[in-house]
Amino acid sequence: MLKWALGAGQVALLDRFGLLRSGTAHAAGTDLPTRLCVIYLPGGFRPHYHFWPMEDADVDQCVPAPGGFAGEPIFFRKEQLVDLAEPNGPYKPLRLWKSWDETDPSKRNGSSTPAMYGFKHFKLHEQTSVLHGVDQGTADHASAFVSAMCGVPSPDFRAPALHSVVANYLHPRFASTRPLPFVVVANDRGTPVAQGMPSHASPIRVPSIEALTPQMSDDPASNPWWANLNQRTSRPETDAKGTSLGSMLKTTTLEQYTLAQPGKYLGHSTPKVDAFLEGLNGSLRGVSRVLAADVVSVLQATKGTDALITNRPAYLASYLNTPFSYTFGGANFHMTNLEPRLDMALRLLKSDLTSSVHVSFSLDFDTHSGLGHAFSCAHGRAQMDLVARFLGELKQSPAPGMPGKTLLDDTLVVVLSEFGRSWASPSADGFNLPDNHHPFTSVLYAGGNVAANRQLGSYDRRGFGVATDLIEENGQAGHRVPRSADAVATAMRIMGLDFHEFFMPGGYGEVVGLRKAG
Amino acid sequence: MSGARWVGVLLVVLTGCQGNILGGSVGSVGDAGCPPEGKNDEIRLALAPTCAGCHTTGNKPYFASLSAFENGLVYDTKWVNPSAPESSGLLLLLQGKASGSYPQMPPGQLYSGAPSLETLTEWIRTLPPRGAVTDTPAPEAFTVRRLRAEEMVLSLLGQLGLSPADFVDTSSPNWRNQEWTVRGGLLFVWPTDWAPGISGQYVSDKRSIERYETLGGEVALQGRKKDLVLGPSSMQTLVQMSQAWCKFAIEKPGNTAVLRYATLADKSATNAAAIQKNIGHLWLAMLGDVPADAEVTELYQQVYLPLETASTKAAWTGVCAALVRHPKWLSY
Repeated sequence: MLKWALGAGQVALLDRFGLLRSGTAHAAGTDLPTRLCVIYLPGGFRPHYHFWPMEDADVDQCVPAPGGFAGEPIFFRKEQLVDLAEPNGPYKPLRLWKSWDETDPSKRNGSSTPAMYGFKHFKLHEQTSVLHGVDQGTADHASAFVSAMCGVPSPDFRAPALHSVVANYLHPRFASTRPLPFVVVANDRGTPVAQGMPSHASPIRVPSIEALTPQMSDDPASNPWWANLNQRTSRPETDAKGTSLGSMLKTTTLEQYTLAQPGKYLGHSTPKVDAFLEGLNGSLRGVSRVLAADVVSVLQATKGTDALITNRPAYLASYLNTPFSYTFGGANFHMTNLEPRLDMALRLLKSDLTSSVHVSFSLDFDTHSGLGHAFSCAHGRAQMDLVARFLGELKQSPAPGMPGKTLLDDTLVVVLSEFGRSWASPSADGFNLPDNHHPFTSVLYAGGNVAANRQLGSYDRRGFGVATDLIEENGQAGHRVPRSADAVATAMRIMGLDFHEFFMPGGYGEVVGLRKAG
Repeated sequence: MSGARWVGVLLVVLTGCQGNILGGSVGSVGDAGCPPEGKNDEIRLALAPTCAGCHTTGNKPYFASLSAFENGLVYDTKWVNPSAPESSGLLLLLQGKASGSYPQMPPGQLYSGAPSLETLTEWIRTLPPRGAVTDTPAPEAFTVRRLRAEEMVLSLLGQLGLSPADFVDTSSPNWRNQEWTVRGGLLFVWPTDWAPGISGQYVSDKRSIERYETLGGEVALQGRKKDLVLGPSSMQTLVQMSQAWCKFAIEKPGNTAVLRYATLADKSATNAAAIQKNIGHLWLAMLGDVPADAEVTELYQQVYLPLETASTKAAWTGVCAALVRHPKWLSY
């Protein structure tokens, strides 16, 4: 029932915080990113196998003895840990297992793997920090996914997803140039939703380059159902009430008729119905904008993966030529199906059509197996190297319309999973290797306005989060275990939003040290 | 289909009071300008600014409606206990004295809103009897929701005189569980969980099941829920689907679902009456109510006539697609 699904009180509260309206225009801070990309790894990962946040002495207590998985080296000892660069202030620097052979990082054998070398190759410590020990508030996949996306653990979204808040916040600046404010490329385990926000903050799904034409083109040559129906006229854009929005919109005869219909039923019923009608009008305008902008041609003409091909890093020499793949063992496993997703995400960011992108990886870490730790370590580190390559591509690409800035400078990339997975612990004959859901996890932040080379927060030896410094929403200093709401709020602060410009039920704070100016 | 219900509900709403919580002090006007419906409603509206932000959706939506407030909270002695008002769970929560994971509501701050604790205690002490409360939603409660993706697919197939057999080979009774090939150039949309992909077999056109999800459909086997809002992604798909399927239905030999009182040969210059009669028929068939003359005229003049200059096929495709995108078609 809608009355249980759409809360009038919550809508009122969102409205109080201005979230039902487009964000007010803000001065463009030169260092503030204007794009968000969230990369989601499904199933719950083990980030301490990627970046080590604890004391070196804890390695022996939390990481099984080195071994192998599918021909890939797994696990490490404290002597193998290295910092990516000198510490940045009084914070632990990015520290990780140097699993590669320094003389030839591409070497793949039972003791060497290029996994994670990408962070060194692309010098990503300059724009990357990681928050550890984040309490997601639940160990249920669906609720934790919602928690990761919006900061509130719940089976259903009770606050708009981070992506939507950012898309809405940036909309006034980019309404006329970015017809796809928020795009979901792949939605394994769920879609972030805009819960109560304007339609331009709702996700538009672009599942693949093949899906683009039948979904977003009005060219009769490709989509014959547009024959004689695609002649567009530029008209003043109005909302459902007929109020001028100060912009122009190219619409067809048919679209002009349909845009006018929702407004006829306004004011006859409840505010919920009016919100439905206004949302419908907004969605229809969004569709017209996408069709008129010919985003299909733009995206098809944009090179997604480029620098990784023309300037292929030598450390990838032992993998397939496709830039977002990796191989285990004697070529008996190739991870290749992330190529189209990451290429599409890059096209969207490079084409300057969108403010907010969500892309999920396809490999699910929900193994529940005795081999789960090995799987998490081998695949987790390999997949994080794909993240590094994605960041490297952004770092080598210019930001559209922003001379002197790279695309990474202008993008906040957030990498996360819904939660962690249970930690290993020493036993009489080796290690206990439980493989269940674990509500504490880590979030990687990279790109514009992100502090360089820091690890914030940490874990105890059982994998529970430990306290870190925060600035609470009321401006007071806090010192506590970070929650998903804090991870989301910190991302919004990095994007330039003030505390009063977003809202999550239950409160939130900004983790100190992740934002460049923080 | 949905139109008659829409009109009926609108009429109910125009004479009833159920809607948005606006907050305010005890006794104030609350829902969409309506006075509170009794003492319990006064308390609900007064507590709403403090509580409704978190308790309108999710698994504890006590403030979604008066019915939810009464059934979920007021008449559960765990929260409101007239025989021992001071130890009622609601009062303990507001004072930070409750047991369990959340001793304090609102979390992290002491309750200082209206109504006062004294007012709440007196309300509990003199709690109205439960007689008026039912276990079902109040009949005057207005609900409107978007059509679900599966309803869109099945409704449109029926209304346009189409069937899956028009898109794929369904000659085998087990066709859903076998590989199938979408006929060339057609925009098929099919529920993901009804597709052969779930049995691991070949799906010729993955776009057809992708489109179903973009339309707002769920993928139960992968834990992805249906979309509850009619956002741009759903409309992006429906705009394409409405034109593609309407055109296909008009071109389908012998199909009178769209063109019952007019043909593609009829022109406005010679047979305007038949064209307008057919628009009225489509309106009734697709929106579920008899259109006013002005509504037929508007659709005729603003969509049919401009498009007829190119072709009658385009004009009827436009009329049909306009009705699919109409608020009455899209809501239930």
